[in-house]
Amino acid sequence: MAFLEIRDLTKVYGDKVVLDGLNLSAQDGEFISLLGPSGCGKTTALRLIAGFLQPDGGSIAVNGREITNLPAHRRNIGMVFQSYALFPHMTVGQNIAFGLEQRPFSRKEIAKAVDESLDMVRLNSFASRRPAELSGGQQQRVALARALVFQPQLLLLDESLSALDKKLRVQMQLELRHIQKEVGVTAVFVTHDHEEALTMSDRVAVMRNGRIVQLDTPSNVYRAPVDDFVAESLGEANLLHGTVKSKDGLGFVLDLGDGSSLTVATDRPIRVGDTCTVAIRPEDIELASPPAAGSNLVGRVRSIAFAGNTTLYVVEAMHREIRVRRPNTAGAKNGVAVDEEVALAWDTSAALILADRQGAV
Amino acid sequence: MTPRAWASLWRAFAVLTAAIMLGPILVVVPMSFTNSSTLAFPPEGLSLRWYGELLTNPQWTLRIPVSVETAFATAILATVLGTLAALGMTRGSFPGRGLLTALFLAPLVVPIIDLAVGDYFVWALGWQIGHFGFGGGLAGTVPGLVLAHTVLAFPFPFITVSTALTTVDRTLELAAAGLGANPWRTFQKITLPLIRTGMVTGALFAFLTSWDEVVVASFLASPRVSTVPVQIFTELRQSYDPAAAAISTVLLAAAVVLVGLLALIPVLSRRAYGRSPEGFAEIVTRGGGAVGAATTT
Repeated sequence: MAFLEIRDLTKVYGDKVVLDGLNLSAQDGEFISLLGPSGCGKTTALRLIAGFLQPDGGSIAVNGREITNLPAHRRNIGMVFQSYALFPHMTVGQNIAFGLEQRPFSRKEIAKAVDESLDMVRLNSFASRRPAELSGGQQQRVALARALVFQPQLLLLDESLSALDKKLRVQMQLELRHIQKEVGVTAVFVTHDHEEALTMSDRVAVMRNGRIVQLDTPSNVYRAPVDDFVAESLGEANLLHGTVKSKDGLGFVLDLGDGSSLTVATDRPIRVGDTCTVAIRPEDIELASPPAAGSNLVGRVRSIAFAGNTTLYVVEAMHREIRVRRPNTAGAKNGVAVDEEVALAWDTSAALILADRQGAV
Repeated sequence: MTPRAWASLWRAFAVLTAAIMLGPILVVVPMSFTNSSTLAFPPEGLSLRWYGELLTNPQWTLRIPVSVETAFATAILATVLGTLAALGMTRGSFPGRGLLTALFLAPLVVPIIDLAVGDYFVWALGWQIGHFGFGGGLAGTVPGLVLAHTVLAFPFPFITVSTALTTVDRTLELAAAGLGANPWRTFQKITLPLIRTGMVTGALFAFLTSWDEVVVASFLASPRVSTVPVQIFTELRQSYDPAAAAISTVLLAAAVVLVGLLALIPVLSRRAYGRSPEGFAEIVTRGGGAVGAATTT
C-alpha cells in the first residue's frame, strides 16, 4: 500500500460535483503536483486531505492509517497556504514554534527545533521579526519552516508560490524541492502553473472536472499526453483533428477535413476510419526558408513574435495557423520575414496521437 | 474670491461650529473652580473648594463608587456577551440570524424612556411567567443598574467585535488547526488576540454608555443607591450647587482620557504587529456611527 492512499474521494456542493471519485496514491517521499484550471477541484482535494473539509464519499489514508474522519488538528499534516497565513501577532520564531507547542515538547526542545528550522530556510537573524516586516519570499520560507518543523507525515502546498514574482518563484521552486528532498517528506502541491508542476514534481496529476485525467512523470505527461486537454494543460500545442484515411509504409494518413492530409507514425491501436487528434509542440517544428524542392508541407509566415530566448512564428499551412517556436541562440540566423514561404518539418515521433475526448480512440 | 480665501472661510466656519458645540460643555470647567456658593458665569474667585466637597460630602462620596462599579461591571459584562453574540452571528450559520442581529442592535433604536419604564417595573416588581420569574428587588441596587446598563451598552461591543471578526482571515484559524491546535486553543491563541482591538474599543464605549447614563439610572435609583449623573441632575434642580460643575468636569476628564485611549489603539497595535490592524478605521467609524445613532435616539 502506498504511503498516501486516496480512494474515490467525492465532494459535492449543492448540485455541483467538485470532486468526482478522485483516486491518488503517493509513495513515501514523493512530490506530487495537482495541476489543473481553476474549478477543477485541486484545492478542494487538498483541503479534504488537510481535514478542513469533510468528504461526501471515499477515504484518505496516510501511512496505512485511515484519517478520513479525523479532525484537522489531529492529522499531523503540514500545510503552506497561498497567502502563507502567518500569524500577524506573533514573531517569526513564535509562528514556527506554534505547531511544536501543541505537542508534548519541552521548551528547550522547541527552542532547538525552531533554531534548526530557521537554519534550514536561512532566516536565522529574523526570529524576532514580525511577518509584516518580511518580504514575500521570506514569508514563504517562514510558512514552509512552520509547516515542516513538527515533522508532519505529509506536506501540502496550496498554490504556495503564485504570490511571488517570476524570478523569485523559480528560485523558490528549486529551494522548496531541495528542502522537501532533504527532509524526505511526502508532498502534494497544488498549482495551475504547468512549468512549476513540471519543474518540481516526481509525478504530475492533471485534473479536470473533479477527476485526475492523467498521472505520470513530468516527461511522460508532456511527451505522451492522453488527450488534447492534457496536451494543452502542459504547454503550447498545435492540435489537428482528422479521420484516418489509409495506412502506408510511413504510417497512417490523416484526412484533416479540408482537403489537406498529414502522415503520422504511431504505435497506438488506431484503425482506418477512426477520428483522432494529433498534437505537435511548437518547439518540435523546424522551419526551412526558402522551402527546399519537394518539401511536404509549405506555409506562409503570418506573424513573428520575438520572446527573448525563443521566437514564435505563426505560419499558415494546411488551411490553418500552425505555431512554431524556435530557440534564439547567439549568432543564429533568423532570416525569415513575414509573408515569406517556409517549409515545415518535424520528427515523426513529435506528432502525438491523442485519444479523442469523446472516446473515439 | 481666491481658493485661498475660500479655504480660510471654511476653516473659520469649522472653528465656529466646534466652538458652538464645545462651548456649553467647556463652560462648566471654569465654573467648577468658583469660590462662591452658587453656580455663575463668569466664576467669582478661584478655588478647589468644590472639588474638596466631592471628596467629603456623602452625597458625592456615596455616588462615585456606585457609578464606577456600575460602569466597570457593565463594560465587562457587555463585552463578554457582545463578543459571544458576535462570534455566533459571524461564524454560525442558522436560520433567523438576521432577525437575531436586529434584536441585538435594538437597544440603539428603542426609545430609552421605554426601556427605562420597562426596566423599572420588572426590576422593582419582578416578572412572573408560570414558574419562571425574573427581577423584583433589583431597583436601587448596583446589580440592577449593571443589568439595565448592560442592555443599553451591549450593541457597542457587539458591533466592534463583529467588525473585527470579519477582518480576521479565516485561513489563520485553519492554519492553527493544521498545526495541531484544537478549536479552543485556536480561539485563545489566534482569534482572541486578533479581535482584542475590537473588544477594547467596545468595552470603552460600553463603559462610557453606563458612565453618563441618566434616564434609566434615575428610574432605578433609590435615595441610598444612585449614580453621579442622576445626583448632578437632582442637585441642579434643587440648587445651583457648584459641586455639580466640579463632578461634571471630572466626568468630562474621564471621557476625554478614554477617547484618548481609543485614539492610541492603532499606535499601540502598530507597535505590536508591525502594522495597524486591518479594519481598524472601520471599527472606529462603525462604532462611532453607532454612538452617533445612540445619542440621536
